Amino acid sequence: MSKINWWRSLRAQSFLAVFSFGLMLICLFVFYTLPEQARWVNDGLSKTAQRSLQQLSTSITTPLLTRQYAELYEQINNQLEIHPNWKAIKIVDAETGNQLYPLDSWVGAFESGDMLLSQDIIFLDKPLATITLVVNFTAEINESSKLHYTLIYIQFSILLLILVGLAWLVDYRITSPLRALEHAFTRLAKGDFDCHVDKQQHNEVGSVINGFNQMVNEVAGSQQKLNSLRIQAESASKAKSDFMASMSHELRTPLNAILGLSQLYDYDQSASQIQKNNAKSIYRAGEHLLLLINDVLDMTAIESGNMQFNFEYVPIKRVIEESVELVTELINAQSISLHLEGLNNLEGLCFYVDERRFKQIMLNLLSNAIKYNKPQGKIYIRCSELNNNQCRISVADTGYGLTDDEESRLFKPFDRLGAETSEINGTGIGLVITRELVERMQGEITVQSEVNQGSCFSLLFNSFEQSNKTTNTQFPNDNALHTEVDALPILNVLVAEDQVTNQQVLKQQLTLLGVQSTFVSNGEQAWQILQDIPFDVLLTDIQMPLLDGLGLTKRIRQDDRYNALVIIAVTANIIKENIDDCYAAGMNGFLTKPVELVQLKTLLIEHSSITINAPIEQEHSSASMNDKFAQLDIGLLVSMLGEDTDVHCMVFNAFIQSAGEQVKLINAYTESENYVDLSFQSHGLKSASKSIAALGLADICQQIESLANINSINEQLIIDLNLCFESVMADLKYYCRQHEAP
Amino acid sequence: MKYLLVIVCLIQSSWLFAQEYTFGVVPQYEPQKLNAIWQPLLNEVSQQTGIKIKLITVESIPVFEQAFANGDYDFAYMNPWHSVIANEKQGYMPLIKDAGRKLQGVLVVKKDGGINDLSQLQNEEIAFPAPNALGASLLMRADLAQLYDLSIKPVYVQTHSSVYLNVALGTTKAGGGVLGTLKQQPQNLQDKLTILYKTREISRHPIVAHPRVDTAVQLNIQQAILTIGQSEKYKHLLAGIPITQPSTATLAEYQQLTQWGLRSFYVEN
Repeated sequence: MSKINWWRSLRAQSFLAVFSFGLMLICLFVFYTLPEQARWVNDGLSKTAQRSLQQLSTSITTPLLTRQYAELYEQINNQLEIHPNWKAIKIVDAETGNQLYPLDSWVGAFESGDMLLSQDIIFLDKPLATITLVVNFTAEINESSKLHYTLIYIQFSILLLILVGLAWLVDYRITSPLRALEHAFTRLAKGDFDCHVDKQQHNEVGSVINGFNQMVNEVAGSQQKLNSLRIQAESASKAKSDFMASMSHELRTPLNAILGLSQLYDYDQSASQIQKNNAKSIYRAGEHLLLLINDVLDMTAIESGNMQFNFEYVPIKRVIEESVELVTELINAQSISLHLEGLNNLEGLCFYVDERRFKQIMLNLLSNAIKYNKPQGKIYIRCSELNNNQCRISVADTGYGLTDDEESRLFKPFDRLGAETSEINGTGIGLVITRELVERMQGEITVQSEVNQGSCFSLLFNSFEQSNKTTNTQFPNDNALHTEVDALPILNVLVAEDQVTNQQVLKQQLTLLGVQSTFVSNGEQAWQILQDIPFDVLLTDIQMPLLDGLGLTKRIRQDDRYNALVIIAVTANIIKENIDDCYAAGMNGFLTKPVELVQLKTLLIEHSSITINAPIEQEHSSASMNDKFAQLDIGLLVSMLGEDTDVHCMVFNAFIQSAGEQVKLINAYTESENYVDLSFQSHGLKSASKSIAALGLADICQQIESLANINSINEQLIIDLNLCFESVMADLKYYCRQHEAP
Repeated sequence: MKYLLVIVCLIQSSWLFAQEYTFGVVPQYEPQKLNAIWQPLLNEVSQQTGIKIKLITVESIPVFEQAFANGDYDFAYMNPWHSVIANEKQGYMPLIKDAGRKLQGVLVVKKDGGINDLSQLQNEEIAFPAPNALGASLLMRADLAQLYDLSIKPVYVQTHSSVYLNVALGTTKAGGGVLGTLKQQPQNLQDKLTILYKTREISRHPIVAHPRVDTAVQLNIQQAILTIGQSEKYKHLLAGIPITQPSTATLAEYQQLTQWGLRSFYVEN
């Protein structure tokens, strides 16, 4: 509520108006009416005096003529006596100039307020004498003023009463209701709908109040409607986000296969050049698809507000150089030239941003500049440090540019410019994400463009002196992790996992990491064993019979004895709600299936305090894996279990022993339409399949599980499952035969 | 015859005493004031003598003069010159006079006016109240004419006060008045005047009796007034007239006015 200055308030103004009016009246009375009155009284009295003087002069003509001065004196004295305001009279003989009255010498000195009246006494057209009268009406004027003052006082008092009454009326009838309305508006603005104002008047003010009350009712109604719509919209949006998240996840899994397998062609001696080229195309398409999925995921995260940032001081120069490096190949392929200007100006400066996200921004801008450039075009990256501790980085291209209309639509999601005609791929959300990222990191993005001249996107961030900041020189990089971390703590790990295959995979992985592990098949067993043996880390599946992972965690966290126990979830569901549930239950970390060795190791290191040297050689090589398996992703397998084929076989055998039973059960539950158990078994088989890198089988299991969750079965899927399972079993057996034989 | 005479005398005397006598008073003041002055005195006189007396007042001097010339009044109070005239016309005789004071005119001039000798007034205007005013006018003019052989221009201004004012204001060189009225003037007026000359003295206003009034009655009344004048208790009744010291008056002491030549200055109506 804006505070009203007191002199602007209606109340103050009405009182001020009354006061001014009163003051004006007083001034009018004092400076005009009273003097005017005094003058009027003076004039009137003077005229009367003049008349009296005339009468006197007539009556003294005879005594003057006959020189009967005693009579003259008597008359004059008499007149002086009966006229208290006549102060003195002088009669001078016209002929001789002698003073006939008074006897004593004439006192010429006047007091203030004295007036001189004079009259010639004429007899038969001959002047006899001149009579001069000194009058002073001060007493009369004072008397009249006094009377007038009294009158004014009374009038003014009445007027004041009326005016004050009027002011009070204004205050009571207008100002007070207005203040009540103002108060009510404030409450309404704060969302308090119980702010009706009492309508006490049946006039315009009353109807305004009435109108306000109606408005409050309508606003309250609309608000309620809005709220319900908002809740609906939120739940719809949440459903969409969930759907997007799970969709992305489900899309990524087959994509891994596409990318991985298409890459393998490069190393396949027997493949022809055409096949290799086709595979490259497949790889590029897949890569693009992955990019799109990542964008959609980012978009979802932005919309649901779940975008996480890891802020740190990042040297600008290095980040830009790295970003440029990433697109160099693309640039070369398109015969576009890239020019870096002023990069050295940024030496020693850093931004306070999330490095990964900042790179994402740079890559997005650069890839746009490449995509929308003309052939043989140029890209300029201009860096400059501004005076106010800010740095501007602009990416300019020499492409087709944008019209004003296009510029205004630039940052709207899914509104890809020229999408109808262009052959360039994209979702049209890249710039939306870019802008969102820039703004979340306290930066600013602007665009300038000219049709057929090119576009220039500028980034503006606050910059800091590098010397003052501890920068993150050690950035997360897969290679770095592989080479740098080679120490693992002595840990005693308990694994709760109902799937035998998954148990095997985890066992192999933990053994590889030099960690001692114990396995149980459900939460109850885990709880029992925890009573007797102390563990440092608990790896637990979420979906388990008897007691699931969340229930187990809750039970553990309620017991003070296990405060030091680190609990890490291992699950195939990466929907955000699941993750939130895990943390809410008291878990320390989160691993998604398929579990990669590096991830597992990183997490264990993160959550352990004591370390010993336990060198583990990690080598990236898929070269030795020449064998081709339709159902198995050997690359993934290696990243999970390492390259020891013995370990692989051990895991595979575990799968071969247990999975057949699961497939039989799935078939049986399908027959009997037992959806609950079907879902459970499918989930189990999916989990196990992922552990052996049989992603196709896992995928089918996932579909069956999803359908079972909504009480539905697709016969074709069951047939596919059986076929796929046979194929997987064949691959596994073949792999084991090959590697176990010696 | 002797008895008859006694009876007639008795009857006459009772008739005489039962008769009401008139008493005229010169109109020095307005009638009310005259009544207030004279009625208590006359009541007392009636009380003492058993003679009924009726006070008669008139509006003006001329009426009064006419009345006493006609012999309308049994008794009268008038100025000395009137008593001379009344005696001549009707034979009025003075009964009582004021022995305490004499009548004397004064001639006033302006103080420091440069006039200190009567001769300076030759052919000058001199103010007088009225032609027949005894002390102020008749005595003075007679004196100036006969004793000093001065020829003056008399200006009659009605009242004594006007006379003094005329002198003080310088409109006349001198003025005739009497000491009594001069002393009654305001001090500032008196301060401007100085007395240049005083006339010869004459007895003041007498009470006269008409010759038709029985001598016994005349004597009774004369005696009563004299008694009152000597009585501390009733003396104040005479003070207002004023008669300070009543005594028996004679015609001779007033007739010297005739010798002083006043007649030639007297104006008859």
